[in-house]
Amino acid sequence: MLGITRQTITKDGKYYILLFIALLPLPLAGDYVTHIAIMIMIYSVTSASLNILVGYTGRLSLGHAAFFAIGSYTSTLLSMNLALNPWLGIIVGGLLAALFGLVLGIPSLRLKGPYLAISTLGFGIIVQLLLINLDWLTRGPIGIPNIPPLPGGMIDLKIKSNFFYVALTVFILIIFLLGLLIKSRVGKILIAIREDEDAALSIGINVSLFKIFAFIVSTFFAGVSGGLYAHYLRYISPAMSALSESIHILSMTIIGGIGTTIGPLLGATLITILQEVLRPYLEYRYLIYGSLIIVVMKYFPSGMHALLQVIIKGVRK
Amino acid sequence: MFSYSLIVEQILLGLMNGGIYAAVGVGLTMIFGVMKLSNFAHGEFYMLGAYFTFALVNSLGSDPFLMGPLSALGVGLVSVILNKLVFSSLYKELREVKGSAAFFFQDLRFIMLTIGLSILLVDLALVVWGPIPINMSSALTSIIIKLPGDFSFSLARIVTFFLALTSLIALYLFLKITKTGKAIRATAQNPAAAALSGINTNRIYDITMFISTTLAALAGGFLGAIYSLYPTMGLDVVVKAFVVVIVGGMGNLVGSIFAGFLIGFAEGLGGVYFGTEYRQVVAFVIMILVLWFRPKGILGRGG
Repeated sequence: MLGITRQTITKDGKYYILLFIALLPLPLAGDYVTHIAIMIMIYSVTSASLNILVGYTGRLSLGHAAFFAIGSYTSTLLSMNLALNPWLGIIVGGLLAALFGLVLGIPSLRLKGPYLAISTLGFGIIVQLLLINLDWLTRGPIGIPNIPPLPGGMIDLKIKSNFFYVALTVFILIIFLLGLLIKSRVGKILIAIREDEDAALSIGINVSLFKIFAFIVSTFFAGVSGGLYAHYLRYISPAMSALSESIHILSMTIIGGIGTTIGPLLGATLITILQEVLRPYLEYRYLIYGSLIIVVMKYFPSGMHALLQVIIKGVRK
Repeated sequence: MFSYSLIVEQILLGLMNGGIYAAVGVGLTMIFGVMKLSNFAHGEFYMLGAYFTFALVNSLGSDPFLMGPLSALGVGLVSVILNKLVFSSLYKELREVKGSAAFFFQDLRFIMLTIGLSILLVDLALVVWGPIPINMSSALTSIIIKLPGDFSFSLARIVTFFLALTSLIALYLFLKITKTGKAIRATAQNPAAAALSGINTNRIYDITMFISTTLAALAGGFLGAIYSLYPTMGLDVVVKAFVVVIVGGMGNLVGSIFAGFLIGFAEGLGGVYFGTEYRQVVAFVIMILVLWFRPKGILGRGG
């Protein structure tokens, strides 16, 4: 029904299992590298979720960090105030983010390009203002420290190398699911909407329904990754919904290669590592970051994914 | 509940801010109308205008209100150079894909380029002038003008407001009457036809960039004397300017001026009733209403 054959699942699954196995020994490299790897995996999920909206459906969002923040605040507050199991909290956080995605998605149906960009940007700012000012609920601008870690039964998930395997499993699972979604009939419909909305409409596709669907899926996984982030770093603040965070996620998606499966992973890896490398030059960090965005967009608009393909082709020859 | 004079004072203050929103928004809408470019770096030219003014005042020991126009011209030149370095070669590509599926990616590419530029310029200001807000004093800020009915505003605010108004009227006349102004409008309507009739469109793009950023920088220089200077000051303004542009209709000059005052007015009123912390939301609520009921802006899309 979804247009995915068993062969696609096993063929794709093979690659993801290989990636999973390849990453297994990573915690041996020490706590620092493990931490970076966890951050890369969390941001890969966020960036891949944005890719559904921007890369495949062709809707630009400058407020994606708001959904990340909604997911993390929901999960945090539920686990701290109502003692809800954080695992469940992460799912509820995703669902609430998706609900907000629906709320933003419906009025945004008719909007495109800069109009949608500014509406989503406004949404992000409003969420940030609410997180700051509803301090009876969110504890205001200072944020929330000491968030309970994920319960792991016998395994202590406060230890980075243990958390790494949780993050790795969730990461591989979500990336695999999103990859399948894009290969399914639904994914092809989304791409058709991106390529030509009117043509898609003329062959009987319910364009509005699928645009809203893209909003919901995208924001759900942004919320889930936000929850994971909250219970890993165990500190969250309203700054998570800031415009700069949305731009951070968007530049991962775009620099990695928009509308490709591995682009967001490449982008999240490059930018997270770059930020770490540039940490000693704190002041100049965004100077380099900004220049990188300009150079990539001017000379390699298809991002690192296309660059990688050129290299692979060269090696094969 | 609220005193009459407080409400009137907030509204007047809002209208004065509105003049600034209009000045920055008009530049943004011109760049959109002529180059089809959503310039997210526009607020940075406002910020640079303030810092250039500060640098001039600091080294020459003059008043911000004298140095503002000079620094605005400098910012205009910087923007033309940036336009040539980053965007010039890409306008043609963007034009060629208009209407096709590739347009979305080209448009996105432009938006990302301006975002990259914005990040770069903000950090540049941070490196050069530091993160601590700078106060720039002007002789005009200390002169308080008393208005009938118990209101008082600094002369700086009043001068800024009238200068913003004057430059908007001057811009309108420039676009309506002069040959260059007509060429700009022709390029906005149909770049290919404009090029065929002998208009050098690349030059028009440079001129448009110059005028738009000079206006923003002028606003930045004057407001810098009233408020304070900090590296991210442009980000707050560009968001407001985009709202102004959408409310007024993208590419519609008169619409932007009207929307600038409307939003300033609504913010003044909203600040009184909902508290200043939600002031920023007022503009977005207006934008959402406009997008809902009149998606092409209050006055429609302009040429």
